[in-house]
Amino acid sequence: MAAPATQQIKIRCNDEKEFTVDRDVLERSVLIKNMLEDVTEQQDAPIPLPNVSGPVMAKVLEYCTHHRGEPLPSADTEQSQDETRKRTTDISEWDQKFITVDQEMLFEIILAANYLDIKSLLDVGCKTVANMIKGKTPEEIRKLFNIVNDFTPEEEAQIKKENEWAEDR
Amino acid sequence: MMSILKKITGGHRQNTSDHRQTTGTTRATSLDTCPEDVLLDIASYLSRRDLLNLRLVCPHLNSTFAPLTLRDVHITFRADHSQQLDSSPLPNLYRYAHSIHVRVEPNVHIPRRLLSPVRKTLGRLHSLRAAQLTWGFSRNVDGYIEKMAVAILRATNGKLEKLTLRLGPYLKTFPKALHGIRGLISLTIEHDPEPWPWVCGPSFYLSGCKCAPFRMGTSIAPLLIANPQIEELTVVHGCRKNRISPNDILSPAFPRFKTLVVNGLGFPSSRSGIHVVDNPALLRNLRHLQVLTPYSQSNLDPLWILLKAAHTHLESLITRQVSPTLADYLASFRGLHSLQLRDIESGEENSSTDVANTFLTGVLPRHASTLERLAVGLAYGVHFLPGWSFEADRWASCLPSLTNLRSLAIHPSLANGNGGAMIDTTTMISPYQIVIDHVQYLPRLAEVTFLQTVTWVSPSYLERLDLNPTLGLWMQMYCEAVPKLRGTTGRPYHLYSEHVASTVTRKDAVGPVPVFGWTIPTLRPAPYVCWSRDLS
Repeated sequence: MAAPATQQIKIRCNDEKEFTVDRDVLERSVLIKNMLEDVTEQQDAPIPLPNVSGPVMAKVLEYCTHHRGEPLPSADTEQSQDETRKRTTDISEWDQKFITVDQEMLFEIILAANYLDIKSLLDVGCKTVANMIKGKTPEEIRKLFNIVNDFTPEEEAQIKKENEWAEDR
Repeated sequence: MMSILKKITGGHRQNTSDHRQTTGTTRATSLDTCPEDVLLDIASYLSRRDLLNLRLVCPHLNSTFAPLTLRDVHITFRADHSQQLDSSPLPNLYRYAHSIHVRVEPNVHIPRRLLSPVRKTLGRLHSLRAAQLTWGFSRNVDGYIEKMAVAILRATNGKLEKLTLRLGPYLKTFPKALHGIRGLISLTIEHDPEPWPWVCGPSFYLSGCKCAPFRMGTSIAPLLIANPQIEELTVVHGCRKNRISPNDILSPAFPRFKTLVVNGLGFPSSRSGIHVVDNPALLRNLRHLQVLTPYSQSNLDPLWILLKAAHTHLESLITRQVSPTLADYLASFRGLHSLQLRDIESGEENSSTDVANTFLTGVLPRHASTLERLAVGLAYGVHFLPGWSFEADRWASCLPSLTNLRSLAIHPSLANGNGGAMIDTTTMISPYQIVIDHVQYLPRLAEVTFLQTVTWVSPSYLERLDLNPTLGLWMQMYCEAVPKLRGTTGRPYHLYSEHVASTVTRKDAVGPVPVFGWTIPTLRPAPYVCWSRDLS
């Protein structure tokens, strides 16, 4: 007996780029999954995703395709795994390779994962940024992320004074 | 469909484009323009030091991480006075500080020039809700800490909800300033009677504990009476010469306890003067109980009788004593989620094989559908006890009913003629494997911990270890030497309080991994072998 054909869903990004994707791949996004569950009648019009561009969506779909079929984290398991999750910044080999992109794309992926509610992808992105920050001085972080120091010397001195009270040595 | 489209285009969380700089050319999103919820996700993987550094990167990161990093205030007086604290106005700190931890390294003198700015700032932390004070570990600074406590009390003015006190051996009387506290919901008091070893030298320990004259129970009673709404009470007493009487902590004035942790609770031989005996309903609301009193200090059977009379339905219990009376109480209700029996001693009538069988056949089945965590541990130096160690024939009958069990900690059966060998020479099967073979079909079980020799150290051991790395080696000598000198099987009283709290987990292990030998070569890592599986 032939397996039932997977439903194909169309999506349209903010640069008008359209994708036709298997429903189970797209359902890695909790946002889209909930939306599709609400719709009973068949829709031909593509789903507009005004906050995601075509190239970023292509990367997100690459991730979702690789992880298709894996169980989505429920609220229950999320809570129980929270402690472990907070301690480790380990990233699996495939995910590590996947997320090796330029900084602009890295943040676009994180924002897309946040918007589309893809928890595991958001975790991978946040862990990657955390690993970049770990152990670096403020100046090194500014240099790494190309951030201009907007503080006045007085403001900086004030923050340093506040930090003295918060540091657990 | 329109509503669906609206949902999508409206944005599930904050819109990406909202966070792009709109002046001049559009700048790609980077760390300094990320939405706050994403930054907080990133922060969950970073240390406090990293977060404090991020505050100094740019104003956006500063405003995002200020509430998070300034929530917990830490003041540590060290010999080198490396923490640079002054009294200049710190509005962010006043606004966000939620908890404070004040401690002084042993025998550090605090110069007045340091104390004054700290007191001034403490007096402005009106948003504090939790405080932890370390008191009495140095000879000359108690007065200073009392002044700081007064400053905190004035600033919070009855709004402090949680207080943790770690009291050291030099504390002679309970700080009067604390009797003015009102409104506490959670109170923790730990008293460690041991002076710090590198201050007094090993000879102090080997000659026995010279406990300070401070009496824990009677000292805290006024504090408890003044705060009848306390729901969580933890009292840890490190000296068994001065026991904590039920009268000290259970008063008709405050029957709201839901969580009670008492190490050092003792019932006197005559119970006529104990008001809780006449009024067991005081214990009715209790849901979480930990009493780590050893047999040699006091028999806790009266407590189990009271709990049964009060119809107290505990959800979790941690105790060091087993007895037919405890079994009788635990069999009188259903719904226990966690049961941890620690330090079961050999040669006691209360820990006989018959009592073990009662637990396995009469107690555990009563809580089978709710029990998530079960630990059965043997006393120091005991490697095997019939019934209490995991013996397949006894445990196999009750195990299948524990369908909700997530965590099991147990001594493998090591004494059936194998003298502690890894492999039973008669069956050639590892005792660890026997446990795994029997428990792996439990549907929710995620972790098995094998308990072996447990080493006993004082409550402040871990903190001391952090401050003095060579202490680990020294404590090892101490732990082995003291029982020998005393010539008893019991623990020296100043070692009984807590064991090393770390476990070794090897999630990548296919089977059990031996981490520890049969002697005590070191105190770290803890003598555990763990097996776990990922249920997801």
